Amino acid sequence: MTRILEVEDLKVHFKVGGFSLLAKPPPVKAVDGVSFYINEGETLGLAGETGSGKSTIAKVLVGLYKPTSGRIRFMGQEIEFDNRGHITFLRRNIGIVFQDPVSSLNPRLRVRDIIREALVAAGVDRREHDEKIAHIVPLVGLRPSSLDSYPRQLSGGEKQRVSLARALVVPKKLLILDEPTSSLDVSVQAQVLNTLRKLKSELGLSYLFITHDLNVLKYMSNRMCVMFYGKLVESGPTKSVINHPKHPYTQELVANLLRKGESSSVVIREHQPSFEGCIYKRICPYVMSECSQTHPPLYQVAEEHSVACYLSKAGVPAH
Amino acid sequence: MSSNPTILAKQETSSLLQVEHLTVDYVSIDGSVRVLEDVSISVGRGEVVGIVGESGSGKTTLGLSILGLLDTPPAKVRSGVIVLGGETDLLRLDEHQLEKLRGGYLSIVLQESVEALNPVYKVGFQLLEALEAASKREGKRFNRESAKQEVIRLLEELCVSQPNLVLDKYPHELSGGMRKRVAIAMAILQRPKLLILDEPTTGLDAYVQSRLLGLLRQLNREYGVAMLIITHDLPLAATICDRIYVMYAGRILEEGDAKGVLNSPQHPYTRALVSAIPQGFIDAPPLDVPPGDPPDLKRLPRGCKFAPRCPQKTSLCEASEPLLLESHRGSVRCWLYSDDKNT
Repeated sequence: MTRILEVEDLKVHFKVGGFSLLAKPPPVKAVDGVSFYINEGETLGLAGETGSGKSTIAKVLVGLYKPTSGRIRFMGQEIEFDNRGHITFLRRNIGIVFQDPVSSLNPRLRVRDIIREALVAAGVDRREHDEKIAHIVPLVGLRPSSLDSYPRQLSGGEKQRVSLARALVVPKKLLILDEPTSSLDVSVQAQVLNTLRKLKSELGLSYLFITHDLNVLKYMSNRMCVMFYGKLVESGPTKSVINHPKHPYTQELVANLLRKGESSSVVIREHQPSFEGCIYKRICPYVMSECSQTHPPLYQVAEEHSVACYLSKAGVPAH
Repeated sequence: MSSNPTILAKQETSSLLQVEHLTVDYVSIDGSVRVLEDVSISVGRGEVVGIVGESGSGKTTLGLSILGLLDTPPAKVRSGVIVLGGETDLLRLDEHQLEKLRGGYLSIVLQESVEALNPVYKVGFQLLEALEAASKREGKRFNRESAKQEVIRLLEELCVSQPNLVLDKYPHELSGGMRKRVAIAMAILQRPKLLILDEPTTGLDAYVQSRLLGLLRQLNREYGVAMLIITHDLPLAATICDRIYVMYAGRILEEGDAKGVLNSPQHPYTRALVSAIPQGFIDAPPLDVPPGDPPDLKRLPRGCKFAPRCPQKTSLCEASEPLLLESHRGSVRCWLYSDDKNT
C-alpha cells in the first residue's frame, strides 16, 4: 500500500509570553515527537481530549502552523515549510473541515459563493465554476436550492455539508476532519457520517479523522492514534486498539466507552501531565520506578500496534 | 386528568415537580411559533429524570419555563401549570418570589455556562458567594476558610487541576470546559432540591464527563437531590436517569423507564435515535437513520409530527396526530400502539 502521508517525529512548540525579561517560561509542547502515516484510501482516527494536540497537527498539515521540527512527506514529496510552493501544494491536495460550521463559514456570502471561493483560490477557470459546484453539491447531500441561502438559514448539518462541499469542490487527496460532527444532533451526525463513508470510496479520498468520540472513531477509522498532551501513547489498527487497549490511558477511554456514565473505579485526583518521565505518570495506576526516568519509547505489541508504556516492554504482560 | 392544579397536586404528593399541559409560543412579527404543545412531566422526590430530544424539540424551553427564566416576550405561556413541592404554581409567582426559589429550591446549569458566571468577579468569589447564600438559607454559620476547602474539594472532584489557581481567575481566563465545571460546581454548592442541567456534558472530555456523571449520581444518592437532565444524548441519559421523556417538535413522544427506553424503544423516532448511534467498526453497514431534517416548527405537518421522516407511517399518521397514551411500558404517542387500546 502506498503511504499518502508520513509524519515523523513532529514537534510543535509554542513560545509563551512572559513579562519578565530574565526568566523565559518554557515553551508549550503542543505536539511533541509524534509519528504516524496514512495509507492511500484509508481513514486514520486521531483520538485525545482537549489540549492533546490533535487540532495542532491538523493545522500543521494545511500549513497554518510551522512545525518546530520533524519531517513530513506528502504524496512522496518532502515538505519544507519555508517553501511557499510546498505550502500551496499541501493546500491544493489537503482539504479541511472544522468543528464549528458557524464560525468557519462567511455569514455575508451565499452558499454558492462560499463554495466558489475555493475554486477561485485554486485558480480554476471561471467558466467551469458552475459545473463544478453543480457536481459536488448532490455528492455531499446538499439540496441545490440551498445554494442561494445564507449560512444562517441552514441547519447545523447543512452547514457542515457546505464546509464539505467547499473542501472537496477542488479534488483533494486527503481530507482532514476536525471534530466534524460533534456539534450536530445524533440523527444528523449519522447522516453526515454515512455521507463521509460514501464520499471516501466515490472520490478515492483518505481521511484524517480527529475526534474525542470513540464511538464515532471506531465506526469511521481503519487505524487509530491516541494522543495525550502532545504525545502519541498508542497507535494501531482500530479493532486491535479498541479490543485490546494496552496503554492505561487508552484502557480508561475504552472502559468509559463501554460503561458510559459509571464513575471511574480508579480515583484520580489530578488529570495532569507529568513533565518528567512518562507523560502519564501522575495519573497512571500502574506507575513503576522506570516511569520517572524518561518518557517510554513505542513498543510493538501486535502487528502494527504499538504502545508508549513500559508495561508493554517485551516480557512484561500489559493488561 | 383533572385540569384543576390544586387537586392534582394533592394526589401526587410524592412529586417534587409537576408540569401540566404546558403550552408555550414564541411570538414575533412573522407570527407565532408553538415551541411546547401540551407538555406534562413530573419529577418525583429524589428522582433523576431525563428530557431527551434534538435541536428544536423544545427541551431547553421547558427547562427555562420551570425556572421562570423565559424571556417574555417573545415567549408566551398559553396554558399550563408548573407545580413545585405540591403547592406553588410557579407560573403565578412574581419575579421577587421566583428569585427566592431560584438558587435555593431550584438550580440550573445552563447550556452556555458563560452566562452563569459574572465576568467582573473572580471565580472563587462567585463560588464562595453561592455557598454563603446556601449557608444563610440553612441557618448555618458561614466559615470562609472551611467553605474555601469545600469549594476546592468539589472542584477537584470535577477534575479541575490546581483549583487554588482557578479560584483566583476571572471567567474569561478559563477554557469552555473549565467554565462549565465551575458553573456546575456553583449549582451544586447551592444545595438545591431540584437541579436542572441543560446539556451538562457538552464541551467536556469523555473522561471528565464520566466523572461528572458519577458525582451527580453521588449527589442524588447521598443528598436526595432530584434532577432534570436535558440532553440530546440518549445513552448518556439512560445511564444516569431513572425515567426518560423523549421530545420532538415540542411534544412528548415517549416516556418510560430509562433502561427500557434505550433498550426497547417503542416510538419509531426513539428507535431512530438509538440506531443513529455508531456502534460497530469500519466494516459495519451504514447507519440506519431517518431521512430529512429536524422539524421546522413554522411548518409542522398536520398529523403526527414525525410522520414525514417515519419509516412506518400510514395515511392515518398524516391525517391526525396521535395522543400520548399509556402503554405497557410507560407512554407513547404513536398510532402503531393505539390499536390495542381501541380493540
